[in-house]
Amino acid sequence: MANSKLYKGSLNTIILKLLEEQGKMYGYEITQKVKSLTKGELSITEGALYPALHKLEAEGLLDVEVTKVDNRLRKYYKLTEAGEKETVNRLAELEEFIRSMQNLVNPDWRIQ
Amino acid sequence: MKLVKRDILNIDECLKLNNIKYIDVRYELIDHLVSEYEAMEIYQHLDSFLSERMAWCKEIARKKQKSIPRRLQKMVGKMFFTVLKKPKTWLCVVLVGAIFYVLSGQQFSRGTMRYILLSPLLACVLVQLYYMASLGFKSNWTNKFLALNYLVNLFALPHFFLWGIAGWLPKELLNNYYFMVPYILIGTLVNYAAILVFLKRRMGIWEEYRFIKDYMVYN
Repeated sequence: MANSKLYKGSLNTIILKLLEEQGKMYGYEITQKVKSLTKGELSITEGALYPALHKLEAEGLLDVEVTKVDNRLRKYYKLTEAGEKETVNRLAELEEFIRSMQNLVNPDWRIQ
Repeated sequence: MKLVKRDILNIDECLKLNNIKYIDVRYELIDHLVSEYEAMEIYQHLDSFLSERMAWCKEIARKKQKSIPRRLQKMVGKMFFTVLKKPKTWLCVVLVGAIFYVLSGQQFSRGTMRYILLSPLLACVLVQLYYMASLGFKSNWTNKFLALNYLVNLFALPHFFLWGIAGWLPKELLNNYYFMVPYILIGTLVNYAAILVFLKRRMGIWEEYRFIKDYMVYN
């Protein structure tokens, strides 16, 4: 992806959406999932991912579960109840934003 | 390529050497680095892999450290409003107000009266200073510094009310009870809220760290 700035504002929404679908995920898994879903077009940098996860956790949208995996600890993130509600809101906002952008850049094209 | 216990210990040492002191950040980074290294198809020496990744590891620790004061102040603000909603708080306020009212009828000088008025705020600050002095007493200097740093961040805004009386408030306001009584009331409640946040966080952090300590590879 040439311009990753376009994704920057949607990082939190991407994380919330993935966790809504997958139930629980750890940091590295999120980066790999995004890479595979976008066929390598988008790669979330670790320097942006972890601060975003920590922020969402501090806001009470994510809960943490720590488990032992192969001689090390793994921190899984999952949505809290507030996080589930927030995900719905943010996805609706994002959908609205995409619709508006589509209207701006390609007025003939419509999302039904 | 699967990493063994010794390699994981080396990664942890490397993170510590790079000033990543928070244990919760370290174990999360260890997992990421190990997962990434093990998924690599082309072999790379672990040391060169780590030196390439260290920049963003430090960035994550720096951002985490930066976010702590803001997060703590937010928690104090939230707790302040929780305290305000409790009937017990208002019962205490009425009781303390009644004591002040009775004392104001006595022949105290204005200065003495000001100190009496300040006593609840001072009591809260003294409790906080006790926590700051006692926390991490038995631990090493690095841990002491981290604990103190955390506490200074937590109590910075609540202490602002005391600094106001000690310095920057004009004298006319200090002698005006219509200003001073609400000022000290709000100051005391904010300081009380900070103590509650501290006690709540201490319990949470203690439980989390005990779990990590039990499971970390080097314990």
